Amino acid sequence: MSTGTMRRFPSSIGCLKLAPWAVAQVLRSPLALIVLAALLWILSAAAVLPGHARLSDLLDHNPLAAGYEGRFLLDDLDRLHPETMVSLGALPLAATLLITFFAGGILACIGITSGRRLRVSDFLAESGRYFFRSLRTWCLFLLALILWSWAVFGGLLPFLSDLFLAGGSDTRQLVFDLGTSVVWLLGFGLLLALRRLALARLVLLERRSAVVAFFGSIGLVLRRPFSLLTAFAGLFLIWGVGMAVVGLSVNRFIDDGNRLLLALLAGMAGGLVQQGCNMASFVMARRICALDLSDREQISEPTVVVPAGVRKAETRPEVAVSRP
Amino acid sequence: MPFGRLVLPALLLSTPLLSQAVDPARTGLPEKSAGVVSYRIAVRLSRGEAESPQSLASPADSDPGVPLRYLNGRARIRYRNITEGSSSELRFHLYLNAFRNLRSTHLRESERLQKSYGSGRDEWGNKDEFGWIRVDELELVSGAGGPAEKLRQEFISPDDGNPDDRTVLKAALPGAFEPGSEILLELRFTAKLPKAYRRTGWGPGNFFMVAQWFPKLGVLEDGEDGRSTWNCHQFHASTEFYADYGSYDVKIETPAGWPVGATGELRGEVEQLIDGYERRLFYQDDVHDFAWVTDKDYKVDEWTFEGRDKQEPRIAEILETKFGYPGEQLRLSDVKVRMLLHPEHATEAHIARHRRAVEVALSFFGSRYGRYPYKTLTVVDPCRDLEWRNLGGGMEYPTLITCGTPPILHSRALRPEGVTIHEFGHQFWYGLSGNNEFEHSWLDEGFNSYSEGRAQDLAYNKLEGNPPVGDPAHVSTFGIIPFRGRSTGSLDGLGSGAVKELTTLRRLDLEPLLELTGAKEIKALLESINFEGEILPDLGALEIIRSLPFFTYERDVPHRNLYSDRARCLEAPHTDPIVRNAWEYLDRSSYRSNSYSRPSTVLSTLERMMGYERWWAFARRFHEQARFAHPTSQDFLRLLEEHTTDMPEVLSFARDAFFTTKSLDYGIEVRQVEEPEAKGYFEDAEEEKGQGDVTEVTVHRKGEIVVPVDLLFVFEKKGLVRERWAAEGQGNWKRYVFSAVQIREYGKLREAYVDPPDPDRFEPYVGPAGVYVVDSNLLNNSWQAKINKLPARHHSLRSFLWVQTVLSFFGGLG
Repeated sequence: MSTGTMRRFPSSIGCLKLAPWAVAQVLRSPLALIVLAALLWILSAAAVLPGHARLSDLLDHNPLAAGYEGRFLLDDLDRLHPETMVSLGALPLAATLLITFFAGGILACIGITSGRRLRVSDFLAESGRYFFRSLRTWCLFLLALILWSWAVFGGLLPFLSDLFLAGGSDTRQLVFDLGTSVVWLLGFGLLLALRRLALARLVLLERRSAVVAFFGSIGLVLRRPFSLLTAFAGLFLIWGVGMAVVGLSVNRFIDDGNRLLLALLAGMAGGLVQQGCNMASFVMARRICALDLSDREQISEPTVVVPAGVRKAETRPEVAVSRP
Repeated sequence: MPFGRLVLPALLLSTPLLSQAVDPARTGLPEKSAGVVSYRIAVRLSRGEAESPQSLASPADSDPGVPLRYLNGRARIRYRNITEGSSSELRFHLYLNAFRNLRSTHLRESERLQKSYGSGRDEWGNKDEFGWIRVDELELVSGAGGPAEKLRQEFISPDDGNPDDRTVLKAALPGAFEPGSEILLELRFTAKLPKAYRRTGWGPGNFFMVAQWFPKLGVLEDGEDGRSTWNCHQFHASTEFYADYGSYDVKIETPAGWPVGATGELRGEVEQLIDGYERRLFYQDDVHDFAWVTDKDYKVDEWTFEGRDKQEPRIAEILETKFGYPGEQLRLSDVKVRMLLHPEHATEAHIARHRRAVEVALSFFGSRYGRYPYKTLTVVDPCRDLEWRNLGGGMEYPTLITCGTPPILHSRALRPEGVTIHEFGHQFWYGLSGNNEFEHSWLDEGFNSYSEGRAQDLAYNKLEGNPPVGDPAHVSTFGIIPFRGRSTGSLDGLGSGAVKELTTLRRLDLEPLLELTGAKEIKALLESINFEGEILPDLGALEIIRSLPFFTYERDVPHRNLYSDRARCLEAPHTDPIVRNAWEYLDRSSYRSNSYSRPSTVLSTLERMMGYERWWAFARRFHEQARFAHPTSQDFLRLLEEHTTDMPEVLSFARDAFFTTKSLDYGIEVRQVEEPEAKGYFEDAEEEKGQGDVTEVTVHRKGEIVVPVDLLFVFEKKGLVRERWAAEGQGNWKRYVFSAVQIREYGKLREAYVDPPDPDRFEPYVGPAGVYVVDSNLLNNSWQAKINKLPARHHSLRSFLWVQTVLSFFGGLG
């Protein structure tokens, strides 16, 4: 049985299939992927190009700038020409808002359409329709992240450090640092997943309350912790392998004779990997929500085919939820 | 043995009366110091104050539940007046009192430095974390009008008049302390160690770093009007050493079974005491301080450095040629090295890398400045301090150094090598050459940074050895995990405060957000539960995910001390000259720049100006004259003048570099001037045709320091053409015009350099710097006709990938 036609919520191991399925769905809508990646490429280029022009002025005619030892000049560049250093300014905020805007479109369009190509206008329209719901879940995510960080670094960490670090060895310090980082990162990952699940619920059920959706998602996490863990870990693994391959390629192209164009193309492929995995995380969250709702309410089978371009009101959910 | 029956070392009585000022006529290495002072001390690391004046032990010593905090000690001090005047007082350093309370000069300055530099200690906890020292009894046994029952004591603050500072003790003598005479003192003291801070105190676990721990006499110097004056500074946040050379005979009592490292040689057997303690005797001549360390958990590694054949042949040849030193005289001596390492740093790799670093250091410093004269060297792995930084990173004491060690090593990062070589180097520049660190801090820190950098750049130029180490590159760290690479950008931007922190997720700090929103009630509530505002520190793990450094960082960015010192000194604004009282620099940044990196860079420049052979002959002679003496900046300049009589620019540069805030910067600009088009009246066709294009090369002097500079032009046909822009009459610029006729003969100008790098002259040759390493802008020192877009594109590519990755991360939060 393919993931696309699953009727019941899969086992923890079975959830491993969700990540590749979600990535495949994203790849079936390359236009959306390229639009998102291109937007980040444009932002990245906007951050780098002004500095590059100045860098070019300073280095193109400098015979000492070439090669390994020429990089000693980087200190002078940083000190005397800070304009050549990339500074991100508000771009991280822009990137966050960008994906927050498109999150609804991803949930409403990717992996649902079949047989017809996704139209950019539909994608934008759906993104706009769910933007404020997406923004509300993002605000809740941020609040939860602050509370979680506070709990770990403001409460747990000082308490544990007194107990754990009394011996004063570096090994203990290392274990302690890594341990607290891993604990925080697990919570961070969980909150990212919760935010996706909550938005997926809002889109699936056409609800508006982000708070209720968040609590509903917490319930899902509590019911199926291992399934969710394997599903998102699978996606994280795909992301890691993809980026490792890209990273090795970039370094190889640079080390082997400065083939910078190839390195650039490989690096841009890294952008596709990152955006693809990010989009897949939303698609997967929707699928998990759909399966969970279907499983719990024992209703009609989940359907995966929604004709593109048809108004949502007519064909709405991926899961046809019948209420008692 | 009862304290009163301790026998004075015979050596002290037989030492001739010698001055400790630099002797300009001295050639060769002195064998012994003047031996001005002799300390005989007995001390116990105790759980409480001594139970009686006759005992060092406390009743609490038998109770292992009581923490070890106290030092109970007695001392007998013999001191000779080698000045030409008399004095009616004594002055002691009581430096543990710097940690007595927050109003001491040291902690006041630390607080100021903390604000300006971000170093220092955030907060002090309960009283147990503070420390102090008290002289319980001070008696003049003989000399200067003695014997006297007790000497009157008074705390003074000669540097800043701070009435709360108790780091300098004045004791009035009953009579005059005449030139050439000797006094004998006996004293009893009690000290409480602070929680580890600034190198001294008790640390986590069972670690005790015991430095600046006993009443130490200042230095009696010749003054005006036939009176001698004491040079005895308060304990400042930046500097702490100046004392006379002499002998130390110190008995140390610690709980049984605890390894102890100390200045000097361990003499005799370890003596077991009946109360669960043991006693060791350490002895050392010709040093000006004594420190010791103990930790129950230390692993000990001992080995011997064999000096035979370790002398650098090229340096030996220079010294033989210049000074006629026979090879035998230059041979290095054997040294017993003892390393005390915490268990997690006692891996084979840590030990091997420490050992190689010590060997490099003993060989480099011994070959160039004269052999290390002591028989022992103790290398200590310090614990972490209150804020979990390595305690002081590294620190120097006579024959004992502390070397902060990272738990995870990287083959391209010279840690622990850098700190090990640096601290060992202080055996020469601080230890053997005992300058007044308060007034001439560059003479130890600067000379040592320069030497340490040269030693590392020379010995670790290639990746080699077992384990392989070398060819150092930029290594970033995430937490404590080292990672080769250099970030191409920064997350900074968006102003400051909460918005930036929230949007970059660099760290989350609620305080600015509350300030922004004016939520006073919430702020008060948070303060009531002792919440400090920061809820998310900058996590290394987050940094790795956010920027995927293996993919986005510049991977191969070489790191050499020559350039890192240069970069550090140029980063700091030139607010002070190098030669200045250390506590009078504007701030910590100025102190560090002017004591470490700037003099190091100036010395590198002097080396290149003078040439290898002349420089190393000079440096050797300077160390010979400074060994067991108190050299000053003027001594350095005097000798430099002697060695460069035919190169007046060297002294002129040194004066500017050490005594002013002037900078040095030369740049080059090339312009191809096209022949104007043939409009107007011309006599004949040949005239109308014209001469051809002209090439103009303009050399600019943008800094205030004036020196002669070499110019190098590379032409297509003629090859290299060299010019020199002399210092005499040098203006702000000079233009070299190559006429069309010359261009036809030479070919087109391909490259042009001011102060070009020269692989044949500089050791070890690396990078784009020429003679003037101190040149503040190397980007404008060269030009080429051919356009090479690769360096800029390479850098921008990594920047692009970094931005893309960071934005993808933040997109993932959306």
